[in-house]
Amino acid sequence: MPHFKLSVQLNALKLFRKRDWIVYLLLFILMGVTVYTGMATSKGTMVTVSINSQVRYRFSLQQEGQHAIEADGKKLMELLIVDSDAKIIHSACPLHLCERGTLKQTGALVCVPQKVIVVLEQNGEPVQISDEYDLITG
Amino acid sequence: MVEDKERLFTSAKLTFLSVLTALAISIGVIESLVPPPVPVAGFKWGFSNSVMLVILLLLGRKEALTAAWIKVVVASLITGRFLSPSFFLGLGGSLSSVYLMSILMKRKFGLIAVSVSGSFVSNLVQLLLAASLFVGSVKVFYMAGYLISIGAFTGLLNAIIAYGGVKWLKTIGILS
Repeated sequence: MPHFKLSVQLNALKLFRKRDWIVYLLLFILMGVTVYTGMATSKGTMVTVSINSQVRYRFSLQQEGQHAIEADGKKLMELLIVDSDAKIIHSACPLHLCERGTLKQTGALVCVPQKVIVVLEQNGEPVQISDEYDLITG
Repeated sequence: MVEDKERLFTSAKLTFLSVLTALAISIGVIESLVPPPVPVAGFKWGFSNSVMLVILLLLGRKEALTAAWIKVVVASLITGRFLSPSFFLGLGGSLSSVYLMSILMKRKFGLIAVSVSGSFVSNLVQLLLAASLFVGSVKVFYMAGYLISIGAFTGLLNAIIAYGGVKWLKTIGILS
């Protein structure tokens, strides 16, 4: 018995087909929309840090240096602001994936295990909302 | 005689599926050792998707879905990310992308279009999962443009890798 020959669905083996244009068009539009909104958001000047979908810190891009990000009395990470860009360092999460890339590069810094998200916003005052303040305002 | 042939067909399928799944797992594990392009847990280059394309081409949807979840579970066990957020993001991403790719392949779209839209849907599902289950904020979509651009690039590469791989299997005489 020679080699076993397997030839299922091999008629699909073509890199391009005529009907592909609809896929490329859709992807091009979506890419344009997302890249445009990403460019628009990267023009902001306020670095906003949300923990568990609540805004906890807001820094200006001019506030260079390391800022500790804390929640419930525990230090989660440090936010490094340098050259009007921001970066997460010394994160307490296990995989340290959030420490890769900068804010302007990717549009957002996300630490999934600690539910932290850092984005740029156009306006707003620098704030540092502590847990006590949160209790008073509810 | 017919029975023998059918049994041979099944075992050949099983062998193909096992070898290709093992290949996908090793690609996934090696990938987790190199820095990913995007700073979010669970986002990877996604080159094991080229193996999923080959499985879809040679075997079919059921087999590819099986390979996809086995790949995610075993690769996450090896890299120590089992049941972590990145495991769930990876599982949702690869199952949805394999499903969409199988539909597009059945509708006779070209390989590059299939692969690129698969990577796009995988990114979208991962962002949705991250936003709804883990971070609780739609702001993760701020990085969608970056992700989709990288996804389009790796999707293109995956299609070419899968095309070349199947062509090579044909030239060495395993496929007719």
